[in-house]
Amino acid sequence: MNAKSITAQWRPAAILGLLVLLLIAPFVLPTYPLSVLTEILIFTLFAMSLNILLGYAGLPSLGHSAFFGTGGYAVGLLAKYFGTPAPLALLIAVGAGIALALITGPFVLRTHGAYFLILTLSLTQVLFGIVWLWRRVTGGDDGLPGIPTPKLPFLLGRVSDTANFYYLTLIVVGIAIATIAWVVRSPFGLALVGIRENERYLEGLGYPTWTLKYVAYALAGGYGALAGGLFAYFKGFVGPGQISWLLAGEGMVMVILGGAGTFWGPAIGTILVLLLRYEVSAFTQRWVMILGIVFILTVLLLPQGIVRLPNRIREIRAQLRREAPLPRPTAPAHHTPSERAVEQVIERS
Amino acid sequence: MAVPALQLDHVSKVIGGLTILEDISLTVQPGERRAIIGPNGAGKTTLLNVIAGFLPATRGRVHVFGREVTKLPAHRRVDVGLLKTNQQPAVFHELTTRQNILIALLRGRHTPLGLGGLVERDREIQRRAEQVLEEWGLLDVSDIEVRHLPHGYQRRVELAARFALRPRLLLLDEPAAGLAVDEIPAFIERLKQLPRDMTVVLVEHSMRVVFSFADRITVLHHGAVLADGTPDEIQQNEEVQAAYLAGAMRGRDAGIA
Repeated sequence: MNAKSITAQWRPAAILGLLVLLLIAPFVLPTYPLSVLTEILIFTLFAMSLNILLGYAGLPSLGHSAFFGTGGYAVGLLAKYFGTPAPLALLIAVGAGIALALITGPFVLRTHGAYFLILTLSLTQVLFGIVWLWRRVTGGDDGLPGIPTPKLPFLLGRVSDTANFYYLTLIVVGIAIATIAWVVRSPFGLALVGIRENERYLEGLGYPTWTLKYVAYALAGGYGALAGGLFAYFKGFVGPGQISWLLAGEGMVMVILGGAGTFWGPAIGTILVLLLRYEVSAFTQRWVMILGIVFILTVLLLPQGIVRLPNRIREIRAQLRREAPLPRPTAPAHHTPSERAVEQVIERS
Repeated sequence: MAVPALQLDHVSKVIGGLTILEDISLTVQPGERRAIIGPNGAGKTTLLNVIAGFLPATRGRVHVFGREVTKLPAHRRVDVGLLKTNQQPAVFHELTTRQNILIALLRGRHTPLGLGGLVERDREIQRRAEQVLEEWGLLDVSDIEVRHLPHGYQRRVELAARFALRPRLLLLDEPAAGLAVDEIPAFIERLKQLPRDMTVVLVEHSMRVVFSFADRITVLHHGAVLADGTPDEIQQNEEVQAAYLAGAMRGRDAGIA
């Protein structure tokens, strides 16, 4: 409890510090790391949008790339055939993601758990098939190359093109993440956690649980498509790879690795996965194997994700101080403070 | 006569070809305390679930305060003041006690979906949560995740959350189950203190609780109503004695009556 309030105290300062770092990054970082950072921002948004479903509402989607790809192709097609300006194209991409969610929601949201996972996976595969086969429009496996990178007009000529698109991404992703923060801390966000915990109990308190899930699915779809749209601009290209279920699986790894159901967890997971991909791959081809080992260790040792690492360290130290040789086998160690409080209450009553 | 709080007309429930409830009709008056008893498998819990809307009735109709709710989903029945507790306390284990209360209080607040405003900035709702926690003696455990609380506390959190929604018709499914024997008298007292404008339907195995609380008792047997009457009538009913009561009394709460 104490630790929590300390964290809460420092939260505004930490966010401000992070923002300052992100703002000065282009003046410090060379081009390549800056483009990696841009990609991290985009995938953080992707992972956070998936986290609304997977982490908060407890809906394990393995088809989130469907939205990412839809956003990407929306941007690609609009840029290629209509020359639509980026702000409008991104808005339409978001609309397309929401529309896809609203259409498919009634089918996939009938199910839970593994069935939900399989249905969302199939949805992605269907879209993948359409994109692959509808060559005339989507370019098939060649995709749509040559999407022009949008630039912030007020920075033209003042910073490099990489930095310009980085700032554009930072603004869009920053606004999107701020709205996600607002969503998950609203009564709606608390109700989503209620759905994850026990949908039926929540219904018994008078919540229209199906509608809540439907809205969460649509929101996640919209944010996912926004990330996909940005990524298409970032790469200047959109192809079937951006709609493939492999990407959805990677998103799932990012969320679970960092900490599903926590706000910053997906960002940490994204940073880790992308750094492994770009930095470790310079030394060895087997970065995926290393990612796998990291993932297994995290799930075993930090089941609530890497975001809990500081808490975990604090608890272990507190435990050592109390000379408890080993964590109690029945309950996870990080609940010790609350357990103590319970015991006190019971003793008193 | 006033509009009944609860009226069931020929309600049946068939699950997978098996008749769980058969042609059940009963009327509960406003403010009444009704107990539903019967041996295991008699359909008591199913009946409560049909009333609460978690299971649709196969046949028949359910009225709550004069309004037909037969086809309404469970969450819409809360609108007419119907709330239900569970055998296992219906609480959100990973949430704190306070969050459990907040979730109840926040229902339908702000916008229909609750997408407006932040929970922690909502002073009014935080103040009301504080009140509820105090009223139910839960302040000490308010920031503890409910899964760490003992069963009795979880039950209290469950009831507090339901009362926060001001039920007019409260369905209690074995609320005394899992309580220690010495906790039961205090629990009966708590039940007796429930406001009289609230109608209570209680499913309970503890005859001690049933006979000290209920105004009327309905006995279910093999999914049908075996008897219906005041506690005295039920105790003297030979059929009930034969089917259930003698055994239940001897086995569970010897010497209560």
